[in-house]
Amino acid sequence: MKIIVVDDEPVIADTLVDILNGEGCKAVAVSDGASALKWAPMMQPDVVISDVIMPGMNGVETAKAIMQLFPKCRIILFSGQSASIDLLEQARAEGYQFEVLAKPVNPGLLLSKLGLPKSAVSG
Amino acid sequence: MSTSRNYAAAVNPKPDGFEHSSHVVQFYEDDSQFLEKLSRFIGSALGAGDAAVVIATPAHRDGLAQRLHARGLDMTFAVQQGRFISLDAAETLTRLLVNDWPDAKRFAEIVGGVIEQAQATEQGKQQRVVAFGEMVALLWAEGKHDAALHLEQLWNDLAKTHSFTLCCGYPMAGFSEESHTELIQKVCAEHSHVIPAESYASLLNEEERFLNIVCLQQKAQALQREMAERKKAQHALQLREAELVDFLEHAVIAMHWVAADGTILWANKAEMELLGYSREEYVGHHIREFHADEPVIEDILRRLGRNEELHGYEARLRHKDGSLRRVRIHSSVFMQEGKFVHTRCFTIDVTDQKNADEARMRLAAIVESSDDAIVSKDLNGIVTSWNRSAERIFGYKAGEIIGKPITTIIPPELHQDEPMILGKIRRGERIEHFETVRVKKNGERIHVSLTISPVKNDRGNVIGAAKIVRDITENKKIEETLRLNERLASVGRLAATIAHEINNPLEAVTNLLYLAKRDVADSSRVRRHLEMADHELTRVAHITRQTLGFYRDNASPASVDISQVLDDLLFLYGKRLSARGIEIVKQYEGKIEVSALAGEIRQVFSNLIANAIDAMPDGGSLIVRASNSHEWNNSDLPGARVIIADTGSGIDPENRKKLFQPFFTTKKEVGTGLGLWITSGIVEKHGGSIRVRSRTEAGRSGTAFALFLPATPPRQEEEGASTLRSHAPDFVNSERTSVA
Repeated sequence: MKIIVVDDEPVIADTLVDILNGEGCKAVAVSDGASALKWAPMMQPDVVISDVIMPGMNGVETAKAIMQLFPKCRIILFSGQSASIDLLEQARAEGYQFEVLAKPVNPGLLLSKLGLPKSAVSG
Repeated sequence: MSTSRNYAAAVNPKPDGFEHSSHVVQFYEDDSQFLEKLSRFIGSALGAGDAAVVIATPAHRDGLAQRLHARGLDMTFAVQQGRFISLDAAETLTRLLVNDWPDAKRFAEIVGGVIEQAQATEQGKQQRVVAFGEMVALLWAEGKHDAALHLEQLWNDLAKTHSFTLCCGYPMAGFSEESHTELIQKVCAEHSHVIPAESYASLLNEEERFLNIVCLQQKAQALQREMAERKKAQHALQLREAELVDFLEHAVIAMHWVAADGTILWANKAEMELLGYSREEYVGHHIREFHADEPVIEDILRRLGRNEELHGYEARLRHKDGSLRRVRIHSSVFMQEGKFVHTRCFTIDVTDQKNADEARMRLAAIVESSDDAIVSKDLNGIVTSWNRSAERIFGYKAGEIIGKPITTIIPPELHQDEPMILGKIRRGERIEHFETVRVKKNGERIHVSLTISPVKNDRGNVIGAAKIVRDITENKKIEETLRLNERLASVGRLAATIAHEINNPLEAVTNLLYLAKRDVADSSRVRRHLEMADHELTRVAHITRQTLGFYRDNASPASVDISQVLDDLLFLYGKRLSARGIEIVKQYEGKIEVSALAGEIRQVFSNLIANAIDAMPDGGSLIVRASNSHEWNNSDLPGARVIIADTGSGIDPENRKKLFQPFFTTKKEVGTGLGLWITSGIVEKHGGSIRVRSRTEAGRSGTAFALFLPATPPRQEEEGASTLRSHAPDFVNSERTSVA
């Protein structure tokens, strides 16, 4: 499974990629929306996991651009800020429906959402 | 010349024995002496069997009859014999006159007839006749000198055809004027004999008469002298009179005289000007025509008729142009020998004063009925007026507070404001909507909004102040509720920010713990994961420590390190700042501490920094400066000066004025419009002040908020935070929105 992880906090992006790659995925960490759009054509990702509130392009804008390029790509947004609720509501009004997870996200929960078995780590 | 002849006759008179057909003129001074003489003249004629004709005044006829009777003459018999004919002079004269002029024909008929009647005797023989006439004297007394002289000539003409001896009587009193000198000569010229008045005629011998002439000459001399004096005096009097007439004519007060019947006899220029009429349109008319109110003028005339004096009697006069003039009339009657001669009326125009009075009363009514307290004071701060709402709002009756200092209603701790207010008033400045606290009579404190204007006299000098006081206690309560709500809301906003700042490290920690469990076999990897988790947790702890301050709402001020507060906030907003590419320019001058409520001060700076970030969506510089300084207007008040500035697009001038008003916002999507209002409220509560400067020119645009916090906040009033203190009203109300 090819995955792009977008988060302006490098620790978050890096640890998530480490977790996903440990389950046999091919995951890449980027720190903003623009980089994600650069990587996507090269990678043809199955999933994009993105933070919402980011400098530059925010998570919703990034997600909308990815969906236009790769309609089959699954998008999962995660956010620790209530301000992102406004952005998501706005996107819903425009016809976009995204999966949203609240930070902090339990890695086990994220893996099961992606349909990946929790091999090495229990509960 | 005939005159000289008459003088000769006068000097050598034949007092009792007149020539036949002589025409004698008898002057007299004393009536009874004259009658005595006349009775001798008539009596001797009657006694001699002659006839007598008397044409005299009733008094003289009666006096003569009495004296003749006393002489023992039987008058009844003489009348029966037709020898005594007595006629009334006035009545006979009337019959002689045609158009006020003695008619020759009538004279010949009437007087000639009477003479003929007296001449006729039973025997057919002509009787000698003496006649006494006073008709000329009557004409003379009336001033008809020409008619009198003409009548004398008619007598003379009659003497040409009829034989009689005539005596004319003239009282000397009829010749008392200087101009009579010539006339008396003319009268004498008409007579054949002149008999001077008794004082001379009664003298017995030549010697006495010469002595008398000398005396008369002396008297004449003296009289001439006196006459000259009199003439001079009279001239002076005439001059004086002319002066007085001129003075009255040009007096500024309108004056007139009115006769008893209401006719205007005289009026001066001021009166003409007051009513706009010409003299012809006014004098000679009835005063009623110029009064607007008939009952008023009737009452005035009635009172004056009773010889009452009028003082300031109010009336309305009609100007020629139709307008009404309101006047006060002072009038009294000039009486002479108990008779109403004319009124003396002074009219004072009070139209302008009356109109001003009415305007003043209307204004007073507005002031009285106002819902706001309207109060005035002099430049010493002494209350000079107090309307009904002031009584209601403050509980003091006007009578209790007028004359007392205005500080009666100012709380003791605010007494220092009064000199500042009076200073502004003295400079002619206005104070608008100054919100402060006042004390009611019962000690209760109320929030008021004051608008104070200088009161100037007609020369433009400030003589006091008028203030409108609005009770805004209710408004204040609503505002307090709003402030509280907004504070909760802003706490909510902070909470969201904090959540973001905590959730991110937590996300990282969660991931790192997952990895540590997964990589449990690889101890070096586990160690690295745990070190990173530790670092993230430190971040969480740091944020938590700082943000706790936001919620700790200390009731009492404590020492606050301004630079520490600013640094904490810059750290908190650090991610947002770097996300937008905003550069921080910090400049702290030494250790800056003030005594304040830390949570509130943090909120003030948080609001200003958040606004600055919002103003720079595309990056820029956030300038944060802090220094130890003093108040702008008062160098004796030390404290901290903090400037928080951005390089955003700036604020339009029309919006700058509204910045500190509640519900004003330029950020339609995110702003509540309460942030700066709350901020200024907190600053004012701490006795500080806040100013804004802003520029909108592209390239050098930006906004700077400068605030001052005193090192020690003013003493808090009872009820604590609910009583906001306006420390510097002039600044807060006018300058804080000023922009360079």
